[in-house]
Amino acid sequence: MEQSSNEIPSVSLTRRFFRLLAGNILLLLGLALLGAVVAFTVLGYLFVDLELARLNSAPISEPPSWEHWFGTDAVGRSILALLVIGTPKTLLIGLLAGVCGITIGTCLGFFAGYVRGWADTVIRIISDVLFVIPILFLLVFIIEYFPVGAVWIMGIVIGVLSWMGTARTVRAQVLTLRERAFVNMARASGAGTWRIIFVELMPNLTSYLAASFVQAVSGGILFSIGLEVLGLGPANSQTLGWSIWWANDYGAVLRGFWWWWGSPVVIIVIIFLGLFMTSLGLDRIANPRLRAAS
Amino acid sequence: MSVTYLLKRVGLFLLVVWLGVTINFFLPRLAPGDPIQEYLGQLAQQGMFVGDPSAGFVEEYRAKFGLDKPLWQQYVNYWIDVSQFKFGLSVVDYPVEVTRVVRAALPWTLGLLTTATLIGFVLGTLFGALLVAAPGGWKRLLAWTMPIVMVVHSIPYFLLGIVFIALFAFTWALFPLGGGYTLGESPEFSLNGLFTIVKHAFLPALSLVAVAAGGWAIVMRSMIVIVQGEDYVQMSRAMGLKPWRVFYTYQVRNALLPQITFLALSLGFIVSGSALVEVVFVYPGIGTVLLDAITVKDLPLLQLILLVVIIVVTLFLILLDIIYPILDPRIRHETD
Repeated sequence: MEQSSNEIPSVSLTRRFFRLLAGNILLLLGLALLGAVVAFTVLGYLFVDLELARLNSAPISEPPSWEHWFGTDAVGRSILALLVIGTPKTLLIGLLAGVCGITIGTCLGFFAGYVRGWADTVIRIISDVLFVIPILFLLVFIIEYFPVGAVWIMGIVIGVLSWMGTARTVRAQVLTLRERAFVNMARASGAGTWRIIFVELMPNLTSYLAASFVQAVSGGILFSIGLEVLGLGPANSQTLGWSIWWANDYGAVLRGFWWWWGSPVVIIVIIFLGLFMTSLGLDRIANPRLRAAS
Repeated sequence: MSVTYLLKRVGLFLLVVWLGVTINFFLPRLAPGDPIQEYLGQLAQQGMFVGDPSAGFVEEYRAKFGLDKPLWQQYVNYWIDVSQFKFGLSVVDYPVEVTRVVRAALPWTLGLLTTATLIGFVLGTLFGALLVAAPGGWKRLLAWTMPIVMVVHSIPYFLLGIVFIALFAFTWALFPLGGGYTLGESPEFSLNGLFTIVKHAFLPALSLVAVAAGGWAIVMRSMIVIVQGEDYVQMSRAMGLKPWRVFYTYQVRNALLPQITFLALSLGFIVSGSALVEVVFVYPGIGTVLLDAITVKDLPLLQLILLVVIIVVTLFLILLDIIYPILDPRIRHETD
């Protein structure tokens, strides 16, 4: 770092991105893990015979072999094929849940923090009510109304029910930001509400929002897997959580079929670890003090 | 804290409870399917002879549970019953009172999850503080454990539970495979009985503690690092206070504040959040009961459990609101 203080170097966006990555091992590792999971599904769709995910298309309860890398389950399915099909579905649920949750949470948080008064109270009450009712209960009945069993409905429903944390923190941030000098300055020079929100306030929150988006994706996946392990997921969709439910239901642990429950667990852990490291890495960008410490 | 503030808070509390209970009342009733039919269907599936459903038998039971009345009247009756602390009989466990079902299951859940949550909090927070403050060599050693902590924290606790069962109960039979007590026996109040309970609760508790402690540690560590840069910490250091004094009275105390918020919230969610661990470990707690009540739409049971959940979580929210300004004098409630 030998640059003079009064000169702002012009660096292209891509180079700035790579520079950011190079100084941030957590972010780099996290993205690499997520990339590996995506590569696994892409390669799987290209090279694995997905017909083997049908019932009775493979030998029954065989440990990993050259033919079936991750073994087969008690109803004659290749676990590798199941994982290749299930991983993108689970990721999709997480992404949709994250996008919905963060969008709703940010909008409502901004609205509550900026407008205050009645808007603040109403949003607070709605978020408290959603917070207090077990989401498990809401989800089961909402999903029953939409018996399509589609994976994307599950993602959206989870997102719609989990914006409360984001709204609360965004509101708190906006409350402190809106009294800062630069916001008052903009207001005094005649900037409208939307301009203040998007041009003055939003940029201060982007890295924070990026980190909480990743956390929301992770939370959505955790939630969907939890529901599926309870046997409450979208029907007929072979997500990662379902494969664990099957393993649990068929007593895979007690029958010593470690590959059956172990393989989905490994993929799930890689996904969560990747998301977790990414969010820690983004946290570091949002909080410069964390960077200085390590 | 002004009186108007308290009144406003209590008013909001009641409003939230009322809205929550109302949603819980209407949602399952508006969903397709009827509890009596569903339960009979389940019995029939298990090979039981349930007779001809058109023989007025179902209607009789619907009347018994008050399900034949119009929705608004059911709603009014529900509140009248609740105000008299009458919660009705379970559909599935007919004719057992739902209060008995809940009272039998609740102690298991509260015992297991409260202990595990508190242990996880204390261990994790201590570990997080040590990650920053441990003397030289120890600090480097602890830093090496961080990747392990992060990996463990990334495993959902119910999956970690499956791994633990496979390793410590199946491969090496150190612990029971599941359940809350020896099968077929009822818990006795003796040293031996306590030992049996602890032995059964150990693996579920361990999976909860291991995952939660990692989270507490990571947040605590970054909170302390963030606080380190605050002016008052720099100031106290410049004043020449002893390092440990700066650390405990200025850094740890401030870093603990958000931790306490999350601790209160996770204690509030114990009742509703226990289903997964209980299903994996076949633990006889309230989570399993809730799950069963949801799947067969045992309305009276469902309503009681959710009433308990809603009141507990709201109480913790309000408790936080009251305690927080005492812990953190910087927060003063607006007087309007």
